[in-house]
Amino acid sequence: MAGRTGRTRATQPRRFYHLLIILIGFVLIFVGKADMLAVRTVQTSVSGIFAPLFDVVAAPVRAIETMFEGMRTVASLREETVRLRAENERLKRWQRRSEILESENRQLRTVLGAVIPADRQAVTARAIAAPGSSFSHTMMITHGRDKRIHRGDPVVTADGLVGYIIEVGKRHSWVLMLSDVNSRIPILLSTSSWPGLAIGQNSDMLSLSFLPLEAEPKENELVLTSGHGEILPPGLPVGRVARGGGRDFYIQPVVDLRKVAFVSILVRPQGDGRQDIDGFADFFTPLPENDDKRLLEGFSPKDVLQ
Amino acid sequence: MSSPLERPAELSSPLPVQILLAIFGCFLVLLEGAFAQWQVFFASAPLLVLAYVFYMNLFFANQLSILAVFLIGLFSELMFFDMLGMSATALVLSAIITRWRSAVLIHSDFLEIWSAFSLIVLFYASFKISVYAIVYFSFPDLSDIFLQAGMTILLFPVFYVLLVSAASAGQFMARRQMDSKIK
Repeated sequence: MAGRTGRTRATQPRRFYHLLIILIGFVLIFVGKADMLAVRTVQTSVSGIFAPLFDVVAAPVRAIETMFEGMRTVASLREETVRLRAENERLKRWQRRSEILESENRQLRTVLGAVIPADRQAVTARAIAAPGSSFSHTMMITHGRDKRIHRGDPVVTADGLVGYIIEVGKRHSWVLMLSDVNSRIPILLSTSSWPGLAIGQNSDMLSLSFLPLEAEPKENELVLTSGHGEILPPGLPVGRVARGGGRDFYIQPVVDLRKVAFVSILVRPQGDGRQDIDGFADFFTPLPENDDKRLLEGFSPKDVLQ
Repeated sequence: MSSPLERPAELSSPLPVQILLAIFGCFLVLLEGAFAQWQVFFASAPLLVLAYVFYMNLFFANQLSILAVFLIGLFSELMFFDMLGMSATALVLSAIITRWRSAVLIHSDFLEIWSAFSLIVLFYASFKISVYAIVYFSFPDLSDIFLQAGMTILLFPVFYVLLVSAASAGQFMARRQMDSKIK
């Protein structure tokens, strides 16, 4: 009886200690959700410190993958040659077609007087950490403040948009991929020109939301960034429209996010006065501050009340 | 009574081993991230850390403290930019459940240990899905989560053999060191 009481007394502090740790865990969940600057700074610093170690650990694992890839390639070499020949032929046809289109495009631009904005420069970086779970689709890349990367800079591949920078360390940055649940990209349907929002769902497809009621997106229609909000430049390919059930539309990203190894970050050139998304946050007000002065163009609140 | 500085150092303290094992857990976090770079494991890398925590809490509970488990989980969250606290709490809960069941499981055969681990993996995934659903009011891609859980359960025997071998090697070396001291 005495032994049992003693054991109970001994387990009580341990139970309390376990409960305390679980409680700290739950508090951290809410602190993390609050998206506080201090937490983000700690997160960036810690991942920045251990990022080179990540690279070292990943190197042999990458080598094993390359070895498997090589073995698979050797096994299917004959098939691959036939496929590549056919693809080569098709590409040559496309090249001719693109040359014709390019010349036509150039002529049209001269007519319209359009100028391609040269306000971005590409910085190439290597992805060193891919999403490890389905709960967060973020990616760590080499280069940070050392290459003038800022929060909000778009990250692309030759196919289109991968995501945008959310955290910048000294030599590493974090990319919020299109597919992450926190990602919201203002988009434009390329053919019908309807604006909308591409929302990540932590899955292969993005949800196409906030479309006007009369919008009728076409299956396989190209979706581009609209440039609204001035964070992402307009015209970057995001994906293609896929129809769900009823009025539900989805976007299949043009970039295969599973195969991203190298990316380009479109940074602003040195001396560009514009700020990153932190700067925009200071100026953003959801409602006009002096709404008694500018309610409607040509009216004052007094006129409306009368 | 001699002062603490005059007393000989506590050479049999389990603290260095505990720290080493916690660092090994952090290394497994990095390895998990490296595996995630394989196309097959995109967003569903096998949960090596969970297997490690399960094994340690089953056979060497006093060597890997709950605080170390929590810190390993926190490290994983910081490195993967995951939701803060979610993996750490899930890992701690898994470790506590494993400790609670260890008295029964420690003398069981491998199949029972494997099935217990499968249940722990399912609990871990369900806990994370629940927290995610509460925080975001939506569900993540369940197919990736099931793939991750399945991969972890399937690869557990391989990982188990590696850990048993490592533990045997460690015990063998410790015994040899003790023998040489006695001689």
